[in-house]
Amino acid sequence: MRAKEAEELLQKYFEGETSLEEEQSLRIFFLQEEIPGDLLPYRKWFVTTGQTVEDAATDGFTQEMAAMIQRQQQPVRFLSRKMIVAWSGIAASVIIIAGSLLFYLREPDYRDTFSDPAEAMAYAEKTLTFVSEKYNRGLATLAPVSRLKEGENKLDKNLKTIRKGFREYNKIQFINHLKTVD
Amino acid sequence: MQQGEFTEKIVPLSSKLRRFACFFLGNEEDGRDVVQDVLLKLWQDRQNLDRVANAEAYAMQMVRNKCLDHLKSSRVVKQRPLTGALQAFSEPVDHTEWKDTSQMVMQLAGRLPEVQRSVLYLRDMEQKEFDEISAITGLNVNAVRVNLSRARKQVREELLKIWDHESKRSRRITAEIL
Repeated sequence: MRAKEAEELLQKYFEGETSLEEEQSLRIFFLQEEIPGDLLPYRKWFVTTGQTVEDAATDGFTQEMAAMIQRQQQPVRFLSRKMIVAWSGIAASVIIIAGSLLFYLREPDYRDTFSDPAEAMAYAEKTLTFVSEKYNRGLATLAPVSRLKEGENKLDKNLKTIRKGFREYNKIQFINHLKTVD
Repeated sequence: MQQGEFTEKIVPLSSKLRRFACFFLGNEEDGRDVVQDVLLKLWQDRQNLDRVANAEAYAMQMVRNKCLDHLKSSRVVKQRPLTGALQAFSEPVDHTEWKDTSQMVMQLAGRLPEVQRSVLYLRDMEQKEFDEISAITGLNVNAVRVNLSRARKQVREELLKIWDHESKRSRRITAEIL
């Protein structure tokens, strides 16, 4: 671009009437080594505004913001270590309560084996008779034990007589003793 | 807008938004906070982002409004020198001369009224089209042009003053040496 052209563009620029392309060409013009003296004051402005600054700090900031958004995406963690302990305690007690309730309140799973109640009754009687027979036979073998009891009763009676005799003897001894003291 | 789309389209705007906010507030830290707030808000409202024609302009607009709120609430003088922002802009430039000019430019723009400053920044720093600037600032295209022109003329005056001052100084130095 010639200096003349640049000057015209500069006029437009200060009126706010240049396009972005024209402004860019002005910046390129001012990057040249040789610039007419009367345009020199503007050089600094155009050189500076032409730079788009993308440094490490801005990159770091973008990453920071990306990380921040990333954190927003994750569901909020409400399970801290303390909370895990608390919740597991609650869960354990719920399981214990529910388990015991299930155990105690369980419906006993009866199954009817007889459709006819009379038949069931007959069978039950038959079973009970069988059981009582066995029971009685068991008791019969215990009959000698009652004879032992008889023997014991006799022994007890004789022992009473002996005990009575001893008591009498003691009394006589006591009287004799009193006599000798007198 | 889905998560993936948000990460691809909105998150990469962060650095641009940050520069804008820092420039606006003249303070690196406040600028970061503003952009962080805006991004979170956008994220929470991502379902409605599809209805926005230009997400970037929308985000810029939010940043600008948030900055204005911030300035209002903290009662910071609008045209205060942009010392904090200078760092953000000048850091990566190796050229020491450029670094100084960059600071100077920021100082020039920092003295402008808020609307002119926004418009000048969006046009000359971010190279935005007029309709985009219009969407961000809420001004109509014509008002954008007028504000831009005023801002540029103000900058021109300052540039000429500085140039004059510098050349006088250099002449004096030359005279002293000779």
